[in-house]
Amino acid sequence: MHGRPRKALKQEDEAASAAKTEKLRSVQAQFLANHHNHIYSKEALDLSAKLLEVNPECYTAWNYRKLAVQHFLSNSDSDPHSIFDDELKLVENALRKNFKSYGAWHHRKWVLNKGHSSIDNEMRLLNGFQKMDPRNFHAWNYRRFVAELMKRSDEDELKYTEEVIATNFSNYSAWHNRSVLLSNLLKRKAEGYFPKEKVLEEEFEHVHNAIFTDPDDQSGWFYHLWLIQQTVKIDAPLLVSSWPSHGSNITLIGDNDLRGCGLSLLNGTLSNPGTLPIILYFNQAVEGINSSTVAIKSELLKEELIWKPLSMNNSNTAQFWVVYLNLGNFELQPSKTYSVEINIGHSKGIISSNGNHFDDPSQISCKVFVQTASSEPTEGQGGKRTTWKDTNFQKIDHFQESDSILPADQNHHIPTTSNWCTEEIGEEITKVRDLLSEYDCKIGKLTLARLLSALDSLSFQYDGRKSNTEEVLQLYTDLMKLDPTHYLYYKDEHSLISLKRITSTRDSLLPYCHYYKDATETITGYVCLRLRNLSLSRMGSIENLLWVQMLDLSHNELQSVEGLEAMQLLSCLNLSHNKFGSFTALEPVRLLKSLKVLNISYNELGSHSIDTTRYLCSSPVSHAEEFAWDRFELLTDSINATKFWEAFLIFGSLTLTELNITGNAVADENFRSFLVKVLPTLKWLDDEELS
Amino acid sequence: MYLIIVVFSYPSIDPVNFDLIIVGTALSECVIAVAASVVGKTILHLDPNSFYDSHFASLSFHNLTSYLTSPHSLPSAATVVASSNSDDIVVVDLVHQPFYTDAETATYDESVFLSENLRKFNIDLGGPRALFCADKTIDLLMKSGAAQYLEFKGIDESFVYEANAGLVNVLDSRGMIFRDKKLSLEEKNQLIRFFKLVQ
Repeated sequence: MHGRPRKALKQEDEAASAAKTEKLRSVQAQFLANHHNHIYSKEALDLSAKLLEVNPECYTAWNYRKLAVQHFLSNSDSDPHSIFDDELKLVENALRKNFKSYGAWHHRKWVLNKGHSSIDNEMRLLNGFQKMDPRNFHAWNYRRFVAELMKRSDEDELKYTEEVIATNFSNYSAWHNRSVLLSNLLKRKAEGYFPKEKVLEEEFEHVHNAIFTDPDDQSGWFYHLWLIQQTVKIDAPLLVSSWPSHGSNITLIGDNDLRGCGLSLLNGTLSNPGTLPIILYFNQAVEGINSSTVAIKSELLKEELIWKPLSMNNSNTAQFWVVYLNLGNFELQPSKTYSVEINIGHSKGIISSNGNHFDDPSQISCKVFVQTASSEPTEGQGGKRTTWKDTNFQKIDHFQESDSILPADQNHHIPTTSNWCTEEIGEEITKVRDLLSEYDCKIGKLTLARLLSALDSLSFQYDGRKSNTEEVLQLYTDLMKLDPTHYLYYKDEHSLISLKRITSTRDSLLPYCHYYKDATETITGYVCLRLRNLSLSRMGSIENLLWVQMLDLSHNELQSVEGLEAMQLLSCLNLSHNKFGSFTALEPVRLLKSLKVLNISYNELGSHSIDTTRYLCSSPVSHAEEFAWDRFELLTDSINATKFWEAFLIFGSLTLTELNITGNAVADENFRSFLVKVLPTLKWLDDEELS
Repeated sequence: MYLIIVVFSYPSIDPVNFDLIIVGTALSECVIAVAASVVGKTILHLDPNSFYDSHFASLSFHNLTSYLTSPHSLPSAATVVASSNSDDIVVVDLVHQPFYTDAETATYDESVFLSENLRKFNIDLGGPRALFCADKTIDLLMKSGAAQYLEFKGIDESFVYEANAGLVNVLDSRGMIFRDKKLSLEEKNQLIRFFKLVQ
């Protein structure tokens, strides 16, 4: 039992325990012999029953019983009723020994599923066991199974949860069961459970009694969180962002020289474009993105388009989708403007993971402008090394264009939130504030932070409502001190809120944008977003950063870059001085086809003996991703470098020209040699030019 | 040594010397008798009635009527003093407060039901007594072994009578606070914090 210290056994108890163990071992040995030899005599059955009544956790014995039942049923003389009755009696005896025994509950379910047993007694049995242990989630799982078998109504079961909660509201399983039942009732709009708003209001009132009576008891808070999610959730998939944005202008540069180019956050500039990406960013993972559901009209379009999910696990469902317009076969006319029109969702077929359809047809229009080629000659070296020092960046005081970074038309993608959601969340905020004024508790603060964030996402900046960001950040800062056990979670949330604030408006983002100056102090075409020294532990708000081509995330506390794979324009990325502990944590980088410059110096690659992100990463072991085994074996032939397969997985599909891994434990000569082989396009390694 | 004798006549008693002679079998007398016995005194415990004495008796139907109608008289301490020639005796009078000032009995025609069932009922004059779980009386009952002859029942609910509202439940548990419909949410929080404070 949790929190109860073990006590040393007394001498006589120890002797009794040893004798008991010896007897059990003997019974078990006999049982295993019977099992192994497929012996199903009455004596063998009785022996297994004895074993299970002493130790209901013995799964092998339950499996043996299943095999024995099947053996007897195959005998035409058998009476199925009495056979299964014996099994049910055994289960009941085992459950009296340990009513948390999963094997016993599962066996009972197996027997009931055979259809030979009466279910009249099941509720009586369940009520008895649930009285003994009201929170036993095995019993609650079994109850859902039996209720369905009996065709007992969700309404009756809901009433039962109400009774159990009234007896003792510190019952996580009862609250959870209640959420399952309400989900069913709301989904089919059962009588008395429609509209959803009325039901949720009543449930909020119900759970208020629990969280006010005893705020330190978290069982009610979990149910409260579920209610909040039901209130604010949007079932339908939505397009929250795209690149190019609606109304944007794209300038294509014909050569590598970016001198004198027009610059803006919104109006992107692409150098050396062989392809033009179109990125769609949804609020949840969707499938069904193809040339009929997303139709593109443009003079630039010369061939069939293939949309690709930006997914790590080779899935057809993804939150980010990209297509590349191939410009290589097209002779672009200087000084000409080409229009691109993207129609999304006018044909059905975009579906989210939970089966909801995209039902918000929208259109994105943008212009592609071809810049006149520069008269200056192209330099033969093909570019200079990228440096990330402060002297290489110049603050941007203002932008010439009057366009907002988030165009007004972007509102078209924002759902029309009902007033009820906003009001309900507002009322909950008031209630939680009332509670916190009475009693300061951690989970109350966390709930308030969540509610304020939900309110901000429901009511956007455009309606002039004041943002709650400052208060939310303060709440998470307080929680980091109050609850150090969950420090990393609060820090992640703090990072996400910080990034949302930074990227929310043009004015808030401007201080972090800089022109990049190369070694000759010439302003290049790049605008670098410098999010360094912000103590970020997690990346977020990628939907507002799809335009970024140069990103500096150095000197933070990042351990992963989830979501970065959507930034398909990213060419230069600085992750120096962070906390990446393994190459698998860099997996999103693998999908950045435009990436040329990567700095992961002064991280912890190779410092950790255990790779905590490997199980998240698709790998040759998981068969989830195509792995270029032939190439890998060829590269590792002369070097004993099979341990570098993660690095190969990450870098093998990139075409980097610059890579910096200085200051990582893994960065030795062997690894550097390996990297030079894996990246034939590499020109600079660890700030040294390669011959 | 501890003897308790209900005396109907005056047979001779052996031994003839006692450290303590107690007259009456009410709870207070019994407690004194047990306490003295525990420390090794010899006790003679007497009662003129044919049932346990006074306020603490549990009487059968017949005994009840005779108890109520008979004159309430105990041998006075003076009688005891007068009977004794010894100067070694210290006499202490225990004062009993009667629990009624007047009693009137009415006899109805006995029915068959009463005839058949009279022996099944006893009437406890003192009624059940409420004790706190941590009261010192509990310790005394346990130590003296008297608890073996008692039954305990927990109090399920408490009520307060209000003139305009009738009987109102007294909230005494977390579950009751949760279920209550009258308290505001803030009051629920304050009450549970009070419970935690006094625990």
